[in-house]
Amino acid sequence: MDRVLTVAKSEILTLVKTKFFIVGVLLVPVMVGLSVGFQMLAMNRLDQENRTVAVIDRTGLFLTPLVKSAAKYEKEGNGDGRPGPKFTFEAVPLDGRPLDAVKLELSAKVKSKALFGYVEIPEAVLDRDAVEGVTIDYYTETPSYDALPRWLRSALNAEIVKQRFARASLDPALAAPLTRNTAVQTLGLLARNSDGTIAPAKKVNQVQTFVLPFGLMYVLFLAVMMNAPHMMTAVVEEKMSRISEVLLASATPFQILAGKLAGIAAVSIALSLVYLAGGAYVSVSFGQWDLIQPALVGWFLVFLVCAVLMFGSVFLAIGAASSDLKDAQSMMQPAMFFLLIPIFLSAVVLRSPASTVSVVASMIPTATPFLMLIRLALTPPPPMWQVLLSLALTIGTSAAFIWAAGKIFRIGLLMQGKPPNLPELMKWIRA
Amino acid sequence: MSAVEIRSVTKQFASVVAVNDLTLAVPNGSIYGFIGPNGSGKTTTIRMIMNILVPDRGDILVLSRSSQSPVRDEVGYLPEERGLYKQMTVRQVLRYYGQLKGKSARELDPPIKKWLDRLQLSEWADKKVLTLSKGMSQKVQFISTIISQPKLLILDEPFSGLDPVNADTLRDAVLDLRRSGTTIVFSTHDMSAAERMCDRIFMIFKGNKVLDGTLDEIQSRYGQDTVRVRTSAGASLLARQPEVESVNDLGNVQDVRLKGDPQAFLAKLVQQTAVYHFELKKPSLHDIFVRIVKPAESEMARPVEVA
Repeated sequence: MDRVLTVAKSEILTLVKTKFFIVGVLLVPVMVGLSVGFQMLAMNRLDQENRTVAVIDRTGLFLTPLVKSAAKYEKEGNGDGRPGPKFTFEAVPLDGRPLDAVKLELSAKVKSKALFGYVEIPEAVLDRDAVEGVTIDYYTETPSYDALPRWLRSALNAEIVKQRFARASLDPALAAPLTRNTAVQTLGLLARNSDGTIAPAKKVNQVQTFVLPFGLMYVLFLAVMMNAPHMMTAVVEEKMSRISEVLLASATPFQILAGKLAGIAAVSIALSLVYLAGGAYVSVSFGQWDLIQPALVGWFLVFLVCAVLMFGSVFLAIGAASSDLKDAQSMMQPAMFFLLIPIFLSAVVLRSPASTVSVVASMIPTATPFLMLIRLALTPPPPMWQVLLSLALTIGTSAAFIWAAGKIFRIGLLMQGKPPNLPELMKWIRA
Repeated sequence: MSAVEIRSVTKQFASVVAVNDLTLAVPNGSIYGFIGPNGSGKTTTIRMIMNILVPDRGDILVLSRSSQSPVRDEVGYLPEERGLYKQMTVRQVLRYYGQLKGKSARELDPPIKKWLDRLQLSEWADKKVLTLSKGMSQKVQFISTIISQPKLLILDEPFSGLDPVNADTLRDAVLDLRRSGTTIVFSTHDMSAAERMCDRIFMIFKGNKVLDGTLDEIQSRYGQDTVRVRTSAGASLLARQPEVESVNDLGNVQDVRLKGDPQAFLAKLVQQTAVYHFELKKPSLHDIFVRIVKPAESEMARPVEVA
């Protein structure tokens, strides 16, 4: 045990002095903060460009309301206190010219940047008997900018409804109140308080339904990713500089492996706790007390240790089996694939945590730490038997991986030259 | 009482027998020389003593115990290929290697200071290993091997690559350790160092033990068939004599290995040339090594005849 602790202590000191760790602890949160800040700044300030849009209005009714709505939108935005972008509209009369010729001319203007785009509003939009299949066509060279068509859809439809009311001899002023959308609010369930009163249902917190589960999974992923591959590189370097043989003269391969794994686990936990503390601070600052869930932090730490032991032993075994960094990098690809699968599946689990796909995926030991954590962070939580079964499978798999890595360590650390292929690795494990 | 006892040990890698039915006893408090050409099985034997490799057959007792885990702390091992953490300071690396042998930092600090002083490395104690010269690194590696005050010390080529002054410094340190009761297994290709330092010598060749004994025993076994000669005619005349097996031309003198009686050869030689020096000589370890290895290498190098 002393040897394991000595190796672990040395690995911890080595890891925390690496650029990876310093970058991880300090720069990643700074970079994430800068990125969020930049996006907010971009939303608030940077979209100041004036986009001029030509309008072929076959009804002759929409230009003035559009100009008015655009001016209001520029000033008030979506009503969230932030101003909207500036859209300028100019009418394009056909003057007897063929429609295609006019559209071709406008396309040239868009290409030459004289216009941002143009809109064609057909007369049929007002015809209540022929509205099926009728579209307002928006032409642009920049389809990725969707703020304009999104705004056009709502602004034009509001005006179209007004015009249809007028045509139906109804008061256009009634259009807005009669066609107003009613929001659907997502709420939790009611429960009875201990005093017998009924507690009102809570409004579902969007941050809790997405940011918390995804954030926890991402922190876990980062903690594994930032330490395990680095430790693999360290093992290869120890092999290349013949330190391995000195270590083997003082400790068994398993003690060295266990010490290194303990080192990765300790550093990963420390790194994660720094992130979680940061997240908790931000949550409390924004009054999101619901996000602080000690039980979830407990599960996070349990799954973090499982993930570190599982992937750590795989990466360390790869390091022991490789003769140089190039070998290690090519052998690491399959392990990386297994590490990334849960990230790809996370969207499915977030959307539908109790679906068969989510349940099965969260039972696969290499994915459990990430996906079961997401499920635990969502409501309703998964049945306890699923959590315990997945945890048992993960602990079993971690133990099997550590055992196999110990076998590979024993032979691999002294091996030089061509790296083993899969059958040879299996032979080492069975030896 | 033996510090190391190897009993009928065999180790095979795939189809290659690296060590074949080896039996050996290293007496307590001795310096035991391991010699043999590259790839003969020396390092495999040492790794088995260190329990880094496990024998396929046979037993190894180290400090009278077959269970290696507690013994590991009492054995210091300097591998042929040196390994130090380049980013650590000299003091950190010495402490780490000492702690891996079960010592605390407090126990280690006095011997670290003592040995750094003795090997003139005190100024480098808090410098990173990567700033050291090759010779300095080698001295640090040596200190790391002995810092835990092991009862058995296994040194694989401890002086290779060192300048004569540093080699002498380390040699003195090794002899001091022996005087204080440490048993030393000393693997080397430096035959003269083995002759000077070792109480007993063991040679392994192609996995088999071919020599084991004191230097005198080994030299007696190979007979007094070598003479050192200085004549006015030089090596060419000597090589032409039918009684001569081989001539090792050392410049002004020649070591001549004879097939027959040295006195008869001297009588014949004085009739052919002026003889200034004629000395009966025991075969050196170098000669014995070459005698064992060379015929086998010539055999291997002989082209295969195709029928």
